[in-house]
Amino acid sequence: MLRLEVRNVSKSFRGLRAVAGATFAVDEGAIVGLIGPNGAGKTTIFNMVAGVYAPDEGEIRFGGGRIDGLRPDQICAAGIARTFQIVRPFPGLSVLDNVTIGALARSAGVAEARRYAGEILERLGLAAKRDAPGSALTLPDRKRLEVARALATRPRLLLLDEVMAGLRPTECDQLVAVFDELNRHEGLTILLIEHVMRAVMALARDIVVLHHGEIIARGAPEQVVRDQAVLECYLGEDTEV
Amino acid sequence: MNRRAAALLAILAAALVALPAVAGSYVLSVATLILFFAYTGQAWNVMMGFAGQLSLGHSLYVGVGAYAAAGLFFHYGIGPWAGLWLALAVCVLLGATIGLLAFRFGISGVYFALLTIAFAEFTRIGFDHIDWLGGPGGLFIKVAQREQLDLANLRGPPAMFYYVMLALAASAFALCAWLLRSRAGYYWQAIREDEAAARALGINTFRWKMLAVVISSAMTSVAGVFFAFYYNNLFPEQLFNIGRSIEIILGPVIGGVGTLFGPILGAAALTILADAITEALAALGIEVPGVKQVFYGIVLLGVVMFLPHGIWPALARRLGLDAKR
Repeated sequence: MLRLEVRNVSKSFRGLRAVAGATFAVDEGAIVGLIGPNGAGKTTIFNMVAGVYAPDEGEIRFGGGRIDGLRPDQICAAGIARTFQIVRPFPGLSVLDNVTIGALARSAGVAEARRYAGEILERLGLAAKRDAPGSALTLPDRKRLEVARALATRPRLLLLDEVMAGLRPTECDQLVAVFDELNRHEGLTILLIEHVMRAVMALARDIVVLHHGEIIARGAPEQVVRDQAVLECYLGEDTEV
Repeated sequence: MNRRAAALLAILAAALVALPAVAGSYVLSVATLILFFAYTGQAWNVMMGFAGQLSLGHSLYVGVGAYAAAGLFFHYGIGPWAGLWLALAVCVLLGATIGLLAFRFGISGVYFALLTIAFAEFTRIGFDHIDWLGGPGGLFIKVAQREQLDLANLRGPPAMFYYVMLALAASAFALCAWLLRSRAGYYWQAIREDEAAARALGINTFRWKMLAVVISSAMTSVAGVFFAFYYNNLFPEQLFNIGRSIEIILGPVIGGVGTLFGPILGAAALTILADAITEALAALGIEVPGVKQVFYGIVLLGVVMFLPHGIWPALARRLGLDAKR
């Protein structure tokens, strides 16, 4: 079973403890939301799973094997793809070339990768813009391209870093529908960091709440949004509901 | 490539093949020089234009390639086709060393460029002290018997040198066209555009950057071998000078970095214009040293200001061709 396990993971930057002993798991086929106020350590956890940093302590496992300390390209080869919080499409390359580069990760050759990239663009509604350079896209399209490129690597686990930020509600709903379909029909596991609660509530079946690097709550969405500790960290201590 | 591009390419190829039949020795020497810079520009472009790794020390590979083949010929009478392999091996080793140092220790951008300059510079100083290769006084190999064609030893008339350089430039063009459409080409462009994003897509950026450096240095070393047998005299000061490296870069920069036709177009434009201004000044009786360099500077300024992506992308759009090719 392809389960992501984050066990007692800590990471400090020059004395600042960004993540302190975080433990959680993402089961195969699940959609888990990682939420928390700014600076809670969400992106740091993401970057450790994605291989950008190695944790100071603890271990990260995927599909039974340890993946902490591997390079980002090795993480991708292991079946984990990510999007970046600040989207980074290859600006000088066409939309199709952007996605083809992702698809090459699991294609025998360029022709096969281009074909698969075309399919992904179709699915994400970017087919009409396949020849446009990455730099010419609007923000919602750039977000879609970022997702398309990650999906083209044929991941088993997709890490989404604030992919809904800056989107209008209808655009957000469209993307939610895409992820929902991928999850239901292809069993894609998703771990998402998200501020847009509309998306979190619609997608995630489990939520992990992070505050000052520590996990303060977890559970089903309806349950978490009523949790006193969560309300305090978001809204201040004297909040009553 | 569309039909129009193929037709234009065929016309260009035919004209280049037919040139020695109609051109005099002066035109032929200018054409050979253009092809030389088109070739080295193409080689440099693999590193910078495709993979985004700025080398300001490509004279290193021209120089070491030239000395390797010339040294074997001078001392042992070993011909350039055999000497080529030594040139290739040494230059690939040098390129791999620079790549290994830079990419393992995260040296990139301007600092990478400085490292390439440093290698070219200390090699220049080193060669000044190798007496076996003539030291600062230079290494001279026997001048070609211009009437006799001896392809095995690369001795012969100017037309032979022209055709050898044409074959090299055409091969480099074909190789680069193929590379750009291959997995390597896609990965290099991804690294050039955004290295962190490239890594996240499963690209082992270290390995692919190394490949770019190795291919580029190998290609450039072949130009060095040609240089040695075309000019017959080699001086460290002249070969490894940073000015040489800049000359290699100017063609693709002015023509269009990262494009296939840019290096060729840039080399032609610069060489023809620089020669034209030298001739014009001579005709007017003006003798000013360094005027060629001033001219280079002005053209470079103009291109950077008005055509920041080089001449080729702008020209290609006018001709209705793919600007990226």
